[in-house]
Amino acid sequence: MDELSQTAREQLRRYQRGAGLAPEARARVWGKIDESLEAAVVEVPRSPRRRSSVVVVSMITAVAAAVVFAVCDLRRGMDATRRVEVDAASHEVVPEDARGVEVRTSEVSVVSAPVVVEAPRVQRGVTPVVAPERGLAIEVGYMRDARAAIDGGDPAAALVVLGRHAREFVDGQMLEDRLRLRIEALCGLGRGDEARAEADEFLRVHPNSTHTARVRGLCRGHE
Amino acid sequence: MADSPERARLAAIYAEHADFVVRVARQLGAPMAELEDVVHDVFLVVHRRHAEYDSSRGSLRSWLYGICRNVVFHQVRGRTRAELRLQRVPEPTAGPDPDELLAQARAMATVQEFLGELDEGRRMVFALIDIEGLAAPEVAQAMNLNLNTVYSRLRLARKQFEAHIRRVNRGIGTSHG
Repeated sequence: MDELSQTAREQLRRYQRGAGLAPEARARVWGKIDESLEAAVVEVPRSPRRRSSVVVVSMITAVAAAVVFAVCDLRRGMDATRRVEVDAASHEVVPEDARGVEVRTSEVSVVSAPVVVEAPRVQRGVTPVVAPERGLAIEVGYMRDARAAIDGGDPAAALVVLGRHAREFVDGQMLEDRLRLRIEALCGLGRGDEARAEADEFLRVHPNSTHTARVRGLCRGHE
Repeated sequence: MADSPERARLAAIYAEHADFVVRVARQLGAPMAELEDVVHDVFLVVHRRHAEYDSSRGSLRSWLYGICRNVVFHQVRGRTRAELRLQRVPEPTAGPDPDELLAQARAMATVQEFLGELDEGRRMVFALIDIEGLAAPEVAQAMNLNLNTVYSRLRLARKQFEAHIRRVNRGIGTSHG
């Protein structure tokens, strides 16, 4: 392997020294990171073991549901099959958030949330298959956008972003962040009853979440 | 969160590796205007996934490289494909000595111009090894390449870099003479 000449190494050394962050930019970026941490957009990761078990349970449930439907189809004949298809079609076009039902295999949150969102594109209960870093980066982006919308006084826009996250990452890594931001957004829209109902559900389902204390304190002014 | 061990750990990683992330993001084609956002996002991902980092499977820098690559690829490139060419270098900020400032400005322009001429595969190998100091096997693992491919790209990039410097120096000599 040919080594670099002294001149070349010197050029690279100077480049390395000059191409980083300037001190003020370094402080500014850390300030933003710190702000994001404080805003609880990103919390300490949950146990990977717990996450993988949720995914496995979701997959098993989906397969079991498919088998049950197949058996039902055989037994009920054509008429029953048609009814199932109609029912399935109605699930395809009714937005998940508009139905007010957020479906997970291990927990069900029923709330009234008449938010206009796009029709779901993914199978409920199954997180899309994406590279972990990619998925998380996208999820973080959604949470940041939602946080910015709330802080910018536009909680309705935040709900749209959170609805998008809910469709693309039904059981995503930022689920608890999403639910917490959604409660905040509902509060911001003056929908205190819905917010408190979702907060109660959150506290019931996620009693050990890092968001618990904050969720408990949300929407107090609306009581 | 303000005084938590997680925050302190992230602050330490940031202090040590923020410049590395910035340089890698630039080599990956992140536009100058978005570098700070990229760094922000990379370190949020680091915070989120730190429990999954396994030092036995690679260095922290190669792990950071992987995160940075994904953030740049999925968050930046989609929006700014037209800006993929590497951008001009910023003015140097360190060094009170005017001669040193000038030398650094020239070095940065020379290196950045050279890097901009390389295809991404060769550029990343060269940058990670000869600028960032990673070992070739580490780079092979981080980039999912055969080690021989890494050495081959490095050899060619080094040759090109030496030729580039000679060309630049001839140009400087001509312009001053």
